[in-house]
Amino acid sequence: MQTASSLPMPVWFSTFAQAARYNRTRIGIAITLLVILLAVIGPFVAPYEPSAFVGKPFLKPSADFLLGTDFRGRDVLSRLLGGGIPVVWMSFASASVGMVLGVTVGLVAAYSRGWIDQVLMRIMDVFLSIPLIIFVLLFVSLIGTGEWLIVLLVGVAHMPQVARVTRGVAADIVSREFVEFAEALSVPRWKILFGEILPNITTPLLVEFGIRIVWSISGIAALSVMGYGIQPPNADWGLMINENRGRIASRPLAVVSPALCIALFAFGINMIAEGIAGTMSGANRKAGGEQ
Amino acid sequence: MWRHLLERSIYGLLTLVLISALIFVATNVLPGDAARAILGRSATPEAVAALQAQLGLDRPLVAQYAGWVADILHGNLGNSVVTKGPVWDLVGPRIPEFVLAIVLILLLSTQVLQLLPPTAVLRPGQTVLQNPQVLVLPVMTLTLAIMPYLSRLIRASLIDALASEYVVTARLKGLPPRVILLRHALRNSLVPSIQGAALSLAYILGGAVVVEYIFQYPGLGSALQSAVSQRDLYVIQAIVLIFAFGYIVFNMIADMLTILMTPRLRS
Repeated sequence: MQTASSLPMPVWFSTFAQAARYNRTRIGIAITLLVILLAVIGPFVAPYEPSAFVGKPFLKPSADFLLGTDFRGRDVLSRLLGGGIPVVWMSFASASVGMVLGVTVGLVAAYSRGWIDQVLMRIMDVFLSIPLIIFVLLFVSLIGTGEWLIVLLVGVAHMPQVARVTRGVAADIVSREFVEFAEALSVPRWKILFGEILPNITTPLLVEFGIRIVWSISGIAALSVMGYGIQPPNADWGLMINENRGRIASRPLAVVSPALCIALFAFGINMIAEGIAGTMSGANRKAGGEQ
Repeated sequence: MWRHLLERSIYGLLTLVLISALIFVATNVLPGDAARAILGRSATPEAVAALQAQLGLDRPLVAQYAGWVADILHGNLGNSVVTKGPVWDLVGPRIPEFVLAIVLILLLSTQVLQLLPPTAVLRPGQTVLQNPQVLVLPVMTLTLAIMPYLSRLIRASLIDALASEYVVTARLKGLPPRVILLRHALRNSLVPSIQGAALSLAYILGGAVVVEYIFQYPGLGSALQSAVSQRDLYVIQAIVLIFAFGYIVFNMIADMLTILMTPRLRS
């Protein structure tokens, strides 16, 4: 366990170093980096413009079009290479929003105890009874779509679970001596929460962050498949699935290739989260593994 | 035990009241009210105001909420903005199919998969209940999505239970391994999976929206999806409330089963 004065950064780093000894973590890091590289470098190496009409619709794979063409005659490979950025940045961003909100609520609840704790956690329970996608759809129907709006909504939808996990792991820390010591020195409250308690729960929170990214990926991809993400003609993996699923039997590549990229991304992040969870002792592991 | 059960019911009811308030506030306070959704963006302010008065939207928010709740308790969910018919006519017939799908998912994900008939396309006018085959693929999709989570939960708790002293005692008594596993160890390790299944319901309900959309299954999820694309506020309100209600009730049942299955809480 870390002492009171340590900064968050080294703790995160040592947790990663510890987790990297497991093969599953290494495989996870490799796959995740591969997908992120594909998404970031892809637009620059794509053979065609992602939204340019270059051939007849639903052409078979050939030397000109390695993965064939899509329902409008655009190059599937170019759209695949150009359409990775949205799901990558949006899932990281929304998981981060959810972590910031949830950790804050969870820490305040665990530290305050009493009625503040009760009220905060009951509010979280209320939020929890609306599933992520339905929560987002409810607000999208009222305000409209937009990348930042979806990031924010998915982030808020993550908040109750993160708050629950944070409160669970922080509950043991708040009654430790070093917290009482800091209180006796009249350290400001926010400094006790984020400077004293937070560094001691980074490992379960890192696992939770990984789980939240995985849920963000599936949620954002699903919203995108239903048409509430990136709007055509721009390229996006979820959108590609929706556009081409009518011909999935005869031209599966246009649907399967983006679906595989999304799945690999989620799988990679999940493996890293598993690796970090493996560094925790058995008793703590359960706290970070919920949903 | 009864005190526990009663406390749990009151708490569930309270959550339901709060969630209905949240849904109501979200659909009314945010920009874009029902009157504007019905009349479209080009409507004159006078027309919007007239329709707001007709729909009772000019009343104070608390009065509107009370009216909405009273209507729901009388079985009236309001009228659809798009079809102009009662929301219940749109939503009601879909509920049994929806519940059936969820029950099937939960059964299949905790029990051994059985041989299932192939898929079929619904003819117009037929209901899903007459053609259970169409449930196969959507249900399988959602089942596979939550099965790993539940099997991991039960694996973890079963390992703990099998290492406990009463299992060792049962072994020493010479009970057959099957009896030890199913009657002694499994019964005590079901509680986390019951809770896990209840939590998974939030995921299934959300996943149902996507899966129904993809498989064109005529359920509540696809109704919600089309209501959202048409900004049909009253249908959205009703379906979100039904989803939340289902989730809360299911979690209450899970908590009650937990109380009934844990001797410590039962006495």
